[in-house]
Amino acid sequence: MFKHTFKQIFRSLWRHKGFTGINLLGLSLGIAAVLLIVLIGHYERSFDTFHTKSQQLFRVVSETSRADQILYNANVPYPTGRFLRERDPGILASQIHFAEEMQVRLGEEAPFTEEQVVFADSLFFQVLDFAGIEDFWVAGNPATALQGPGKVVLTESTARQYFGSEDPIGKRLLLDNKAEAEVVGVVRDIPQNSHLPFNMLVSYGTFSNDFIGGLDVNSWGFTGNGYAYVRLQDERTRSATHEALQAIVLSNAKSEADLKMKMYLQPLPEIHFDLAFEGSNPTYTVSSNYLNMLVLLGIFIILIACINYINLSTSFAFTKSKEVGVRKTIGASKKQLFFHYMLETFTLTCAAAVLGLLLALAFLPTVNQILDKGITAAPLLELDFIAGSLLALLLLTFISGAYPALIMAGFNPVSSLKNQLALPGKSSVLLRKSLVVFQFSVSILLIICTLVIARQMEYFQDKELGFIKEAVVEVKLPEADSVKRAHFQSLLQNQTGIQQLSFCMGAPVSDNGLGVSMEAPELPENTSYEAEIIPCDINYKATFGLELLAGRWLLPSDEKNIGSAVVVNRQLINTLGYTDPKEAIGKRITLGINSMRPAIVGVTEDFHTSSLHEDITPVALLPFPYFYVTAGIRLHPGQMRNTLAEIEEAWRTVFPEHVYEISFVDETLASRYEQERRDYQLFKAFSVISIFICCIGLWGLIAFVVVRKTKEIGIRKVLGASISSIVMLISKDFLKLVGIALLIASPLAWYYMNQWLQDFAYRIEIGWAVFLIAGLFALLIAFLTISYQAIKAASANPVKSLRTD
Amino acid sequence: MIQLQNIFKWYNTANRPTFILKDVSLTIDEGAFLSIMGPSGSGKTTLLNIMGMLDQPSEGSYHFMGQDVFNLKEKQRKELYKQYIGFVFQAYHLLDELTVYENIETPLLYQGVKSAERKAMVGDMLDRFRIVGKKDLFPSQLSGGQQQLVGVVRALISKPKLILADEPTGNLNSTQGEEIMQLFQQLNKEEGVTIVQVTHSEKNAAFGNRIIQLLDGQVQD
Ligand SMILES: Nc1ncnc2c1ncn2[C@@H]1O[C@H](COP(=O)(O)OP(=O)(O)OP(=O)(O)O)[C@@H](O)[C@H]1O
Ligand SMILES: [Mg+2]
Repeated sequence: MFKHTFKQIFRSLWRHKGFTGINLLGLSLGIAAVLLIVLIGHYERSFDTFHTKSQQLFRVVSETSRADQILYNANVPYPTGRFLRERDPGILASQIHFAEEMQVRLGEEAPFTEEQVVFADSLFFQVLDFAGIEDFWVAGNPATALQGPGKVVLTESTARQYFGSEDPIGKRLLLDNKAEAEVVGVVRDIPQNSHLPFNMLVSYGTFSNDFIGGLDVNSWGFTGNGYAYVRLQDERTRSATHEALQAIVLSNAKSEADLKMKMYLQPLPEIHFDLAFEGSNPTYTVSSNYLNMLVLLGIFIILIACINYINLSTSFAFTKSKEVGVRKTIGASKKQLFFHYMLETFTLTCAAAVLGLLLALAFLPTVNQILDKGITAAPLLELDFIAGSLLALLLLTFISGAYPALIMAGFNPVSSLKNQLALPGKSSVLLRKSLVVFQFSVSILLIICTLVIARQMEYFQDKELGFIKEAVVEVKLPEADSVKRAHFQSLLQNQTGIQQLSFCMGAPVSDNGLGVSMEAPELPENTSYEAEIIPCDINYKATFGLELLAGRWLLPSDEKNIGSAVVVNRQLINTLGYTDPKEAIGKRITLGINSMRPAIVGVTEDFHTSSLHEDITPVALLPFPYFYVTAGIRLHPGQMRNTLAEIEEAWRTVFPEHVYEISFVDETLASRYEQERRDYQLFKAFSVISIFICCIGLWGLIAFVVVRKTKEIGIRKVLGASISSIVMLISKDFLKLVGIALLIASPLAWYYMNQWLQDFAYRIEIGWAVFLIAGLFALLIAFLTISYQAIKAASANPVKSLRTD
Repeated sequence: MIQLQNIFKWYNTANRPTFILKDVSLTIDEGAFLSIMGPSGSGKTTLLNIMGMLDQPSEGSYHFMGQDVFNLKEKQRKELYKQYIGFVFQAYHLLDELTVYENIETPLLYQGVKSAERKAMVGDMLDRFRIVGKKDLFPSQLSGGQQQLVGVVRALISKPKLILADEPTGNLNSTQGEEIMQLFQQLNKEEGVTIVQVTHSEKNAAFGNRIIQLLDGQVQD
């Protein structure tokens, strides 16, 4: 029976190629989208799953109440790990320092920059054991590798990159021109799905003040890039850890406000998903909501494809009604017929699944590239997945096939043989229309979202930030040395391509930032305030085009008397309670850096120091040469390439031992909108797929309509109707549906996009224009889809269509 | 075999019942070869469909092989149908996607006949009606007469006791039609299959042993 049914099904699918093609295309696209989403979801959920007993693993984090918000920080002071261990030897605690970048030098070769380097103490591998990775240790002894100073463990890739096929063990490296270290071990590459990726591990004994700009690694006063991890094997150590963390807060609190800080344990499996710590995580964080939204999008896409199947099959059913009638008169039962048509759907779904799988595999590299991830297709071979997808296939078959199969199995044999079923019933027409409306609602919703995201991204580009960001570069200075600075500057003196040069810690929006506490008589006690410090020289204002509102700008003399004068932004004086900039001149503020108490000598207009996600914060511009680790250079836009080459040459003359690094300020800024760029790509892709599937479905439906109306069209033409009036006759109903879809999608999209925009302190208003554009776009696409066939039908010779009745 | 009593059939058109069958009573014995004649629209097909349990009357009773058909459950009726009745249509109604062989085999599939047995039965039929050579062709590759022959063979494959044929020769030329009629006659005489056919042709009607005239939904004797 099966064999026969299959044979018939294949022939039928083959014979009705248009029907089969449309459904195959739609379903396979939908399935491909869902598969990719499943892979993305699986990848994100697989973060940090390669440690044994991960429920024992925690990271120490903190929570601080600020005047108007709670700050979450995953970074903890560097002594935290050691303190926990000393407090109770039962606590397995490991302290690390995460270096985003480090300069590495092999022997006499030129230095280069290594990314993601971790300084870890000797307990590191007892806490995070990486035991889920097969043969993690390629060489070396995990028990002793990180003991004492000057030891380095490389990952396989790093080792190969540095030493090729040579044995890396025993080789020596120079780190940041500060410390020498010897390679004592090699481990497998750290999977990309780790919240703590690294290419190199350096023993914590090697770590010193030098690596963090001279700050004290034993100080409890700041967090830098320190993280502490613990493995807690029982309740006792757990409570001991909590007590110890309390003790840290208590013993380091300098004010009552500090006592409100909380240090606590964050379960390791939650790290990747807790957005509160997004800013201080070593790598990106993803919210569960985001993953759920992806799943929802996938479900929508596949539903759109299912609807195509339902609509086309039910339309088709009436063409097939004779066949059903015949089958019934030769003895087929309802059950057998239902089964037959379900099997037909199942066959089609399976074929679509195979195609979808191939599509997904083909697109995976692109997705990885867009999302910057290392997703593999390996999970597709896991038993869970295979079982799950079989179930999903059955469900898909049921959703798509049940209704059409039920309709067909239910046909009255007498009427179907008489071809009286040529017109579908009222309720099934209503259902079809509703389903089309659903399809277009989803598509329009996605189009609106894409448009809104695109407009917000344009806004990122166009928004005045209060400083000049075009044609400005940041050149890193490896040392804050005034002689070398002067040398560098003199080499560039005659460069006509340079408009302005300022030594500073960084551009207003920069990867370098220094947030410190701020106190002033004007501010209430018991509440902590924070200000951002930008150490900079007198050229900063001209380089970045800051606007002075009151008082004076910094003078060369201020640099000689560090801590005497400060220029602040409008936001800072507003925080102090002044509205008129002039009032603030001469007032003193205390900054949590060397406890200096400079007087406000000038006030600038507000400018942004972070992405538009954030509000403008109080900023203090401080002449403080110790922190001049960057040269901010504004170029003449016309001749940038030459000038950049000159700058590099000058730099290499002054700092021959170091790695040259340069970045454009507008690019740094753009990188802050990576997530939005990905959202945009994602929504764009989903919009295109969904509108495409909608349209091929519409195409199929119109084909049926045209067939059904051939005679009517012929008669109308004979009576003198124009082609356009006939096209309108056919399209009108469907275009109405698109209009209804627009009405449904608009408020939903408006609501959802408003939520999305909440992430930005500075955002666009969703105007009516996006709805209009999305609606017109959908209408246009639908109209084009419809009109091709409609015009063809309308231009056909009426005599022909009337004769072949 | 068939006892129809006071069968009425009407449709409500424009809120008024239009009668199609008016008080039709008819008894057909096993082994009969009955021809139903009458003008177009007189209700012949409707009557045949009712006999074949494809349609239901608005009123009246129907006993088939002693069973009260309209008081049976759907499933039992279906069983009765599958076991005893074969349909032949004017438009052949072969399944386009199936070969001759498969068309003939399909009723057996629906009846759940085992594969080996099926093979034997279909093979027998192909032999008997000398269409072995055509078994792998699709309906579109056959002439009208050949298609109707396959239609008859398909109706016969499940060894029905009753064959209902609605203008079986309507789309055929006279030679083709005669062949089908001879086949019916042979089946009726040699195997005792009861045959009820609707026809417009006096000549074809004469192949049977009884003729009834239907006029405006009423049997004229
Ligand atoms: N669903 C229906 N609704 C209303 N009237 C119907 C319906 N089905 C059939 N009829 C009417 O019933 C009448 C009898 O139809 P039937 O098909 O039985 O006629 P017939 O004798 O077989 O005609 P022909 O020789 O043309 O095949 C016709 O007048 C037809 O219009
Ligand atoms: Mg008829």
